[in-house]
This record gives sequence, structure tokens and C-alpha cells, in this order.
Amino acid sequence: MKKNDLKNALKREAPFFMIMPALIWQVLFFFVPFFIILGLSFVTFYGPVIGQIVTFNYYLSLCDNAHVRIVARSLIFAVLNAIFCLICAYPVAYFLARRITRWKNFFLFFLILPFWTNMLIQIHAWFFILERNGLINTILLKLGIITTPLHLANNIGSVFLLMVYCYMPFMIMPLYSILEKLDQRLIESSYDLGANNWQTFFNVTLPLSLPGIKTGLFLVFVPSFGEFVIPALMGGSKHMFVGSLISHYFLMAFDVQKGAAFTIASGLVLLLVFVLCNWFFSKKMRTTKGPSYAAFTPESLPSDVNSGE
Amino acid sequence: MRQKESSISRYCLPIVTVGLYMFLYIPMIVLIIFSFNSKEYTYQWSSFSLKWYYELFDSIEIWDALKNSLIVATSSVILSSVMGVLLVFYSAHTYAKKTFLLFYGNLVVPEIVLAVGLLSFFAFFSIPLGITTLIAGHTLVGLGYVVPIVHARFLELDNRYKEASLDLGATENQTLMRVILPLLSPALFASGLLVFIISLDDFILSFFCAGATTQTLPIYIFSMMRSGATPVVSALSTLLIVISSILVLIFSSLQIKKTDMLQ
Amino acid sequence: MTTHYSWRSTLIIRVSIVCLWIVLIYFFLYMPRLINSIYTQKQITILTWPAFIDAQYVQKFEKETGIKVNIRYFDSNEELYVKMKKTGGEGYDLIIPSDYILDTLIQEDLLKKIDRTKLHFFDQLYPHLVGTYVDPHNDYSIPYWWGLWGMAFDKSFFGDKKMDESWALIFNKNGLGTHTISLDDGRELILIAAQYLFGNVDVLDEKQLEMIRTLLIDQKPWVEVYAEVDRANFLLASKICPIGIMVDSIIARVMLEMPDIRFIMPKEGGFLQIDSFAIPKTTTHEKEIYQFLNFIYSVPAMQYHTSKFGFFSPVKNVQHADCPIAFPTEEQIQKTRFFKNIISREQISDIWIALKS
Repeated sequence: MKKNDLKNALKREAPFFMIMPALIWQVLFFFVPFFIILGLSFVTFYGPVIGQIVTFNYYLSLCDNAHVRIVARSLIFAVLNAIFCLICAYPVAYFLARRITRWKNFFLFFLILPFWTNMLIQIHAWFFILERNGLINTILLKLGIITTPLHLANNIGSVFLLMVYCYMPFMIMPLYSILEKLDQRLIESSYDLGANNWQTFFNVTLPLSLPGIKTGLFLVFVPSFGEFVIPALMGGSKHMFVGSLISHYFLMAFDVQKGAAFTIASGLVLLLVFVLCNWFFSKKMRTTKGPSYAAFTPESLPSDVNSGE
Repeated sequence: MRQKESSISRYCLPIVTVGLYMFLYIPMIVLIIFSFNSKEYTYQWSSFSLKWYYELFDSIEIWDALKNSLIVATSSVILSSVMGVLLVFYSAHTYAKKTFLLFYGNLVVPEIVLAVGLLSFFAFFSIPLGITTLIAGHTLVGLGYVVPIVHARFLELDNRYKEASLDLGATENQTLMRVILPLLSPALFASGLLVFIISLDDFILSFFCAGATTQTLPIYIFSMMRSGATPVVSALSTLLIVISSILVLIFSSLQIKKTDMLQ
Repeated sequence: MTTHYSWRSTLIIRVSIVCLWIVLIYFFLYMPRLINSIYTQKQITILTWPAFIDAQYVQKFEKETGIKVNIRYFDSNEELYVKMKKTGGEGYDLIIPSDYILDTLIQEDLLKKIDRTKLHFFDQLYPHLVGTYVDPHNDYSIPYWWGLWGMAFDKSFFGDKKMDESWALIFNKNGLGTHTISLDDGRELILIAAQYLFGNVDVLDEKQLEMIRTLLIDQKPWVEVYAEVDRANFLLASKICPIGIMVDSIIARVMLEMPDIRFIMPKEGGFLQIDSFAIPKTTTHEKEIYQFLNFIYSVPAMQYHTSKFGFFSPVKNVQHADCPIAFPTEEQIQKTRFFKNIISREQISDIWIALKS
């Protein structure tokens, strides 16, 4: 009954058959390329004969002034971007999550919309504001505050501004999401126990929203590090960032191996910073002043506290 | 019991919020207004004109780019949704149940690293760059969204539905098609819409993986901006903003419906 | 009831499933190539710069001859070179490389010889465009687009100030009082800097490269944007920056609307760039190619393209209606040089990264 066995075997392996496409896709297009890049960064090919010598040359050639400056610049920008977005987004997320009751969906819709707008369109829009005869300069000139137009576009400041603009929605969404889910009763218990507004905020709201802050910082920091479109378009292509350099190596200079080495190196830098931040945050989330308020779930409180609304 | 509002929070917070909304919207509104500007080489308003929109509809390149973008987006959505659902459903409660974790990497890694990896992969195996390589890349990103979302929703589903269906004599396939899929459909629809919009807007991956000859809409906009943006780009941007708004409206109304349904 | 499954059969089945999917995915990725190779007759594919060939005008050709023309665009010579190197230009019947890349392509034997007897227009081409150092007998290329590299500036900003007709306007910032638009292409900018510093040399040694690097880094604080010439065109016209490196045929488009803009050739000579049609070795549509070439170089077609895209025609007897720039004089053309391949890609890349970091 070989045919029957075969049919049974096939039926048995049907789940395997079904899950394989996704897994193969992932392995083929995510993991294999990673190993290819890793391999490219270490070996030197000698002509048609595949004489491979493992070498660190490509990594060593990266240790010069220019590359270090580029990586440092990207890192500083990404960190500042994340922090600045956090400072600007937190009050707004807090306000929307906790203070607005009636037009919430309306405000939410307008908050999500920039998230879905193409980054290129956003950059293009800012040219109308920042350029020498754009909105800001026209208004200031008409009001007589300045006599010559300010040089607002095509410099490093405008690159930072655009980065904040493009990545702000990435920070607002996780913050809003976690602030909305905050249990109101914890805040109320804090007030009941005699804390004023600031104390409640710093000791209850902020620590509880730490997971959202962490997600937001992560969602802003990682893509900002690899950003190259904004410096190319709004920065006048004057300053290279990590992304610009990678794009240069692969698309313009066609120095694939050095590019691979640089990609791995900057990836490692990113990973290092990420691990450090993770460690910092888990420390913060574990040590709070006194017992963790998150441990006081409604169920664990005595029943008469809940009943007195 | 109402909480006390300090004077700072009563006045500062709304001001900061309004400020942020203005910061987010003024550039886009100015862009929309100037797409109707009649003069080409200026950032100053002269008179109202629809000529850039006429030029937009006449341009062959834009329709070509739009066609490519739509093909890639729909293909990525279909491929990633189908593969993602199959993975989630058939790997549940088997030895392979942790494989969905493999897919979290797609979103964690910066997109440029993904793009460069794919480029090297295609170059290594001498695969010509074109629409299919684009679809491969976008599907990869799509899987990174579909698998976590569908998996989370799947876990929330009561396992008894699946068991009851199997007990009543349905095969695994029938269970998937008739029972689980309808239950998963909100999550599938939401993630599908997400992947669609992300694929339409995606620039970095497309820039590296599309080759010289296939253009998607973002690539077209980028090359236009690099070579002196005519207001046709503004007109195109306005239309894209309108389309995005409609899609977001659909998306939000889905969410609202879901919360209404749960109540 | 559980039967004993041998692990061997399981393994075989699983491996074959994995192989099946890999083959399917591979097939999916290679689909375009297969489609192209089936779909051969009566069509040609042209790989060109944007704003060289009008896709709508070409439909006339399609109607007359029944040959479908597919136009594909590229925007970097390096990209074209890599494509040609890797695949031999498979899938393309005509390409339009710039002169320095054409040089490399000819040397690496990637192009097909052109049969000049089949071209009806060849004697109509301007003499300064044929027989260049790249292809002395025009065996492999036919010039199409050409332009002179110089500088353009906005007279209304500078008023009556005497403009020194030299690259110093771009590189030497003394007293100019404004930012400038520089070029985003490494090779071309370095060669322009070399012409400014050393005149027309054919070799650049380490010391000279070092001086170029210093010059470019010194220039950087005064650079508004590193841009392609098309974007520089736009910036000049929008009065964002009043001076920049420019090609004459590109600035001509804008000079009609903005009469304040002037174009000058520097006294060091400037550059001449010629983009030519070339035929990759792998093509099979030769008959169609020659038909198309004869079509596109005909006077009506040239008339249309030059007035639409504003470049100088390579063919004589084409009227450049309302051209605000005078046709380059013999003298101007004689003084120019070509962008030659005198520095290696690594050297360009090193200087470029040092400049931009």
C-alpha cells in the first residue's frame, strides 16, 4: 500500500508545507543577505579564481577621520532627535489621552494622518516654508523684521528640523497608546494619598508610561540613524550621514565590500547603543521610589476602595 | 472624583498641543495651496491655476510609476497576508510555534540595512532588478507587520473555536477557511491596509531594489525633486495626501467599529 | 491509532517541500527575464537620460513602422556601466552613455559596431561632435546630446559688477557675497577643480589630488547645495542662489522666462560633454535599431526634441527657434576639454567622502 502511505505522509506534512513559504521567504531575503554582507566584508576576491582570504582590511580602512565623523554625526542626530521628539510629543500625547473626552477620534485622525504621508512629500512641503523666498522669509520681510532673507534651508539645522518633523508621529503613537491605557484608579489613589499634581506625575504617570517612552524612543532612534533622504534633499547634500555613505558605497562608488564592512560596523554601533539604552530602561523600570505602583492592580486592592466612586 | 487641574496644565497643554498640530500641518497646507500656483519657478503666490494637474494627468511617466506602485503594493499585501496567515495558523500548537519570533527582525533593523542586504543578495545570485525584486523586498517588510499582528490576534481567539470545528468533522483547511479566517479578518484587513500604505510610501527599499528602469511613485517624486521640482510634484503630492486621508479614514473607522463591536 | 513513521521519509518529504518552494520563488524572481526573452519581435528598448527622447513623439514612429519602442530611464553613468558590465546590456537595444563612460565601454568591448552605411544622416552631424578621442571613427557611437559646461549667474543680483570669466567665481569666494551651487558628481567636480588649479592636464598625481581636496573643502562653507545641473537650473530660476556650475543647453530652457540669467564660459576652457547612442553587444534587433536612429535624427524629429527639451541639435539645418543662448562659437568649442577618465574610482570616492564628512 505504498500509495496510501505516500498520501498519508503528504497529509501529515501539510502543515510543514503551509508554513514553509513564509519561513523560506524570511530566511532567503532577511538572513541570507545578512550573511552575504557579513561575508563580503571579510573576504577579498582575487580575480576570476575565487581565492578568498579572510581579511580585516575593509574594517581597518574604515578607521579614519571621515568615517568616524560620519557615524558620530548620525548617532548624535539620532539621539537628539529621539529626545527632542519625546519632549515635544509627551505633553501632547498626555493632553489627548487624558484630558480630551469629546472630539478624541477627530484629533486622533489628524494625528495619524502625517504618519501616513510620504516622507518625500513632507520634505517637499517644507521647502515652501524654509526657502529663501518661502513662507517664513516672506512674512518676516513684509513685517520688516529682517532686511535680507534668512538662510533657513539647505543647512544642517533644517536637516534636524525635518528629522523631528518626519519622526514625531512615531513618538506620539506609542506614547498616546500607553497613556490612554493607564489605569485611572492608580492616579486617583495617588491623589487620595495626598500627592499634588507634580508628584503624581513624576511618581505615578511617568514611571507607568516608561514602556511607551521606550518604544517611542526606539521607533525614532533606529530609523533616524539610517536616514539619508533628508540630508540629501534638505541638507543640500552637503553632509554625509551613515545612510548617505552606505548609499554612496553601494550605488555610486560600487565598492560593495567596503560598503558591507561599513554597514556591519555601523550596525554594531547601533546595536551597542540599543543594548545600553535597554539596560538603562530596565534598570529604571525596576527601581522606583518605594514599592512599584504597577503592582497595585485593582484586584489586589481591598474591595471597599473600589466601591466608593 | 475629578482630579485637580493645575493652572499650568490647563493653559500650557492646550497651547503646546495646538502648536504641535500647526507644526505638523502648516507645511502640508502650504504645499496644497501652492500646487494651484500658476507660476513655475517661484515660492510666491501669483494666481490660481489648474495647469499642473492637467500636466500631471498627461504625463506618461507618472501613470507608469503609479501602475508599478499599485502592482507592487497589492502583490505584497496578498503575498504577505497569505503567507503570514498560513504560518500563524499551521504553526500554532506544533513544534514550530515560536517561529513567528523570526519575523520581528524586519522592523527592528533600519530599512537601509535591509535594502542593502537585498541588493547584495540579488547581485550575488545575478537576479535582475525589477518589479519582482521590489515585490520580494516589500513582501519581506509586509511579513514583518502581518505576522506579529495576526499572531497576536490569533492568540486572543478562543482556541475552542478551532477545537469545536475539528470535532464537528471539518479538516484543518476547512477550519482555517470557514472558521478562523472570518474571525481574523479585522486584524487581517488592518494589517493588509497597513502594508499597502507602507508599500506605497516606501522609498528606501525601492530606491535600492528597483533597478534603474522600474519606477514607483516615491522614486519618481525623489528623482523629480533632485532635478528641480516642478509644481507637478506639488500637484501629485496633494493628490497623494488626499488619498492617504481617505485610507486613514477607512482605517480609523475600522478601529472604531471594532471597539463598538466589543462593547 | 499511531503508525510508526520512519524519520527518513519525513526528511525526504520535508527537503523536497523546501526545494519546491525555493524553486517557485526563484522562478518568480526570474520571471521578467523569461518574459523578455519570449517577447522579442518588433520592439526595441532604449535606456536613456530623462528629457532626451519624448515618449509621446515616439508613438509616431510606432505608427509608421509598427515597431514598439520602450523607453527606460537611468540617472547615473556609473549605474549604466555596472548594468553593462554585469549583464552585457541584455534587454536593451540602445543606450546613451556620456563620453567618459563610453570610453570605458569601448575599451571593455561591450558594444556592437555601427554600420554607418545604414544611417542616412551621418554627414549632417556637426564636425566637432564626430571623431572625438573616445571613438575616432565613430565605429561604436553616434553623438546625440551635447553641451558646454560653464557657469550661469543671475545678473539682477550682481548688478554691474564685473564678473571674472573664470572658475574662480565658483571656487574663490572673495567678495562675491553669496553662496554658490556646486556639482553633485564627484568626477566632474574634481575635473573642474583640476582645470581651475592646473589648467588642462592629462594626469593627476597625489600632490595635485591633495590640492584639489583642500580646494573643495575650502569651498564647502560657501556651497548652498551640491546639486545636479537640472536642480541647479531650478534654483537659479527660483532666485534661491544666484550662481552655479551649469550646462548651456540646460540653462537655455530657463533663460526664456528669466531674462536676467547669463551664461559664461570660463577662460580656463570649460568642458564639452557629448552623450551618444551606442548599441550593446547582446542586442538582436538591429534592423529596428537603424530604423529608429534614422527616424530620431531626421530634421522634424530633431526640431521637436530640441524645442521641447531645449538642447542643441547634433544635426545641422535644425532651427533653434527663440534660443536665448547663442550657438557656441568655434573658438569656444576649441577651448573646451572632455571629462576624461584620468582618476580612478577609488580616488574619487576618497575625496568625495572626505569632502562630505
